[in-house]
Amino acid sequence: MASAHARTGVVTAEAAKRAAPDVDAHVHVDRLHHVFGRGAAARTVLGSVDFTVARGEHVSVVGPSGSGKTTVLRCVAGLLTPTSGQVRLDGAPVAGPPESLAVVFQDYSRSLLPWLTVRSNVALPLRGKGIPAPHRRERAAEALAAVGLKDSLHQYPWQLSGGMQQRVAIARALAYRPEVLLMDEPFASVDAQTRSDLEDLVLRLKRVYAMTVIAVTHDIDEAVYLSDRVVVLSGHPAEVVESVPIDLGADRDQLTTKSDPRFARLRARVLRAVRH
Amino acid sequence: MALTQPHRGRAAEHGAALVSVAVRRIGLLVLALAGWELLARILDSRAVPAVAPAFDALVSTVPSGPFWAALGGTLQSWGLGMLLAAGIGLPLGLLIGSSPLAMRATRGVVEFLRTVPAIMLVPLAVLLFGATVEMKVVLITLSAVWPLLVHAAYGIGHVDAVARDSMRAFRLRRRDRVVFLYLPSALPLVATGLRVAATVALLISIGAEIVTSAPGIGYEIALGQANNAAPRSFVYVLLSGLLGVGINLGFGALERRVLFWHASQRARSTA
Amino acid sequence: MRHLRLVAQGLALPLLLVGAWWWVSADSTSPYFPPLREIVAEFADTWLFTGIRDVLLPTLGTFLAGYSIAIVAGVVLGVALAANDAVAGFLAPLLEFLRALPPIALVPAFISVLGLGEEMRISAVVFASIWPVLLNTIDGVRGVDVVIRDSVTVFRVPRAQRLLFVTLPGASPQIVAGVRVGLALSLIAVIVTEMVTSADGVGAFSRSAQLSFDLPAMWTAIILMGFVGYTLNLLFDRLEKRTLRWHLRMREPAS
Ligand SMILES: Nc1ncnc2c1ncn2[C@@H]1O[C@H](COP(=O)(O)OP(=O)(O)O)[C@@H](O)[C@H]1O
Ligand SMILES: [Mg+2]
Repeated sequence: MASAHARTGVVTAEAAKRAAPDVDAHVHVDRLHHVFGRGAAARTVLGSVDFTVARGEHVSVVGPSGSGKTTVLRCVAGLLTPTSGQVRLDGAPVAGPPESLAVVFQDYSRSLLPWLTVRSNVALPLRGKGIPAPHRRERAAEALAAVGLKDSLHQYPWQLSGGMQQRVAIARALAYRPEVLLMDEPFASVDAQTRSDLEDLVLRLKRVYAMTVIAVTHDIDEAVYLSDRVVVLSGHPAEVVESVPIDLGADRDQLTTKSDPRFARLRARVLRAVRH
Repeated sequence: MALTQPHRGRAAEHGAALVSVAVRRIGLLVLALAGWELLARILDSRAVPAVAPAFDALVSTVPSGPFWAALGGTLQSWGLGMLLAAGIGLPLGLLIGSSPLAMRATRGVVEFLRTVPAIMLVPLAVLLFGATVEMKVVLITLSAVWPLLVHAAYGIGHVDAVARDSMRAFRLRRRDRVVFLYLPSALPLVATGLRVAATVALLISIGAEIVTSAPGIGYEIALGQANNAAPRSFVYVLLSGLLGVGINLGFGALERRVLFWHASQRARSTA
Repeated sequence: MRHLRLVAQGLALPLLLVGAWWWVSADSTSPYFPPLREIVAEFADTWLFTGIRDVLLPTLGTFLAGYSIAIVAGVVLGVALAANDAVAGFLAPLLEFLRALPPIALVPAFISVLGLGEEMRISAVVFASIWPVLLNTIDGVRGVDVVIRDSVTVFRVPRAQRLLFVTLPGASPQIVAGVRVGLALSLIAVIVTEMVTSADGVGAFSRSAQLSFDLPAMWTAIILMGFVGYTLNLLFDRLEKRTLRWHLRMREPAS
């Protein structure tokens, strides 16, 4: 039984790779292998994680908690150097945070700086891009308007609700105008209603800002609802056990999409792969 | 109408609360004075003055030149010592704290030096500088520099890992990272260090004045007791207490201003 | 290997500094900064071991007596005041004033009232260190009470047991912080009273060395108190770790 699942997993992963050949890949996660600690305390967290993301594609990485999703994301963001293997962006190996990439972290209360106003938080990363101050402020205000926060420019992050803080973090990433947007469980720390609002916000923003998105989540519904493909990470050490294309079209909404029978089938398939 | 009614009610409530605080403060003052009087009667009243003579001494001493000279003498050495200690301790602490190796290497020396009670250096400092302002400034600097250095070093190491990752991911330049991330992160502990240093500096200043007769509040306290002028001496004891309270209030206000974003201050403002 | 490197990194600077001191001061003719060689010889002569017995032990005795009285009295009074919200709130400004008052300012008054003896010195130490202990105890106990007020089950526990097994352990981090502040204040108070009264103890030793221009002796006293302060702080760290570990273990089943 278990081996049958494993076999189908391997087959689909390979099929997906054939469908999206390496040359077109925007992001190529290439045989990522990582060991934390050394000597007796060494722990192999990533076995050999391998997947590609095409330009403009939205890929969700799902897997049980502790499976190594954040570790993969930190390697893609250039925040962590893997023990072996590499991440390539447009064919160039990632060494240190790439210029064309922005990250939304799970822990908004810690990733935003409490001593800066909302607008200054969003404008801060633009300092390194050589943009003059008035333009930085303008761009920050635009991005904040896009996430529905144009009235909170001068407030401090801690004066806002959790969902609003995560919107600020998203606005900060948008203002940066990245080609690749990484999100690490962006909606895991907000309540259910806020979460579905934020999901729809992301769908809307994707139509305006053309980006390649890699989002880590442990919420299977969210992964299926938002992405073009779901990559399932599992095992100790972690490997990609399945890569599920989500053919639900571009127009999605909470009610019709989530009650679509295809949604249920895809959801079940991802769930089986996670439990594998 | 419906809006102003509860408003006025709240204002009245607020006023009543203020009155009740004032009544309690005055009650405490009366009680404290009564306790003092009782103590003075039980003990030798030449050492602990009764309330009335102390009050007379207060009235005659405060407008006098020596009173302001003593206050100035203590404040001057306190201020200079704090400036020197901050000028040395804060940059050094920030530098040490930003390198784990420097932290490990200096730990033993810093721990040793900061536990030497600064008051032990009084005899040496007196021989070197005499009973002067310089002597006090050196002692104050040597005692206040350690809390500043240690708090700054730990403060700069207290950067939140997620915030640091965010700033790295967005490729903030080194200078921007120092200004917008590292220094603000260090600020809460630096503020604590400043308050501790300011308190220690006052204590050492007055201690040195009592032991060596360098000009200042401590010297007047010792002089008054030695000359059987206990009421005068107590005026200066009160003054030193007020200075201590002033330092607490002043640095507390500074913290509220500078650390408005910090959880401790936020909790206080909503409470 | 790694461990060895860490030890080496920790020892390098102290050894370097002592070495530099030794080397730079070797030919020193300045009366204020005698050669370290001389100081070390003097240290061995003075302190090992008659000095430690006759001079250091009295200082430590005064310190220990005053400091322990301050801790016990501070905690007991603190618990009592914390149980009485109205009284604690009423007295708060006075207690804050007493804490802010530099305790040394009252040493001359203590001398006038109690004389130059051990009694006076112990009282001065108690007065110097009791306030941080007392105020931190009040804060700590109240903090715990606010938390457990919601928990009815805890309130079915008899009062004395609740105090011993819930309130005090819960308040211990703050109490320990106050006790730590008191440690430094106690040391300063002992030395100042000894310096002013010139009877016995390290403070008096150092003061009389000053008056007879015996600079090497003064240096040895400074170094000695450095070791004493350092050792006391190390002991305190140990104790703190232990109480806090206990505290953490107490909290584990609750969470
Ligand atoms: N810096 C680190 N040092 C040691 N172990 C780590 C570190 N970061 C993560 N790990 C371990 O690696 C595993 C995977 O972590 P992570 O990538 O955060 O998982 P996920 O994001 O899927 O929950 C976990 O078991 C975690 O304990
Ligand atoms: Mg994670």
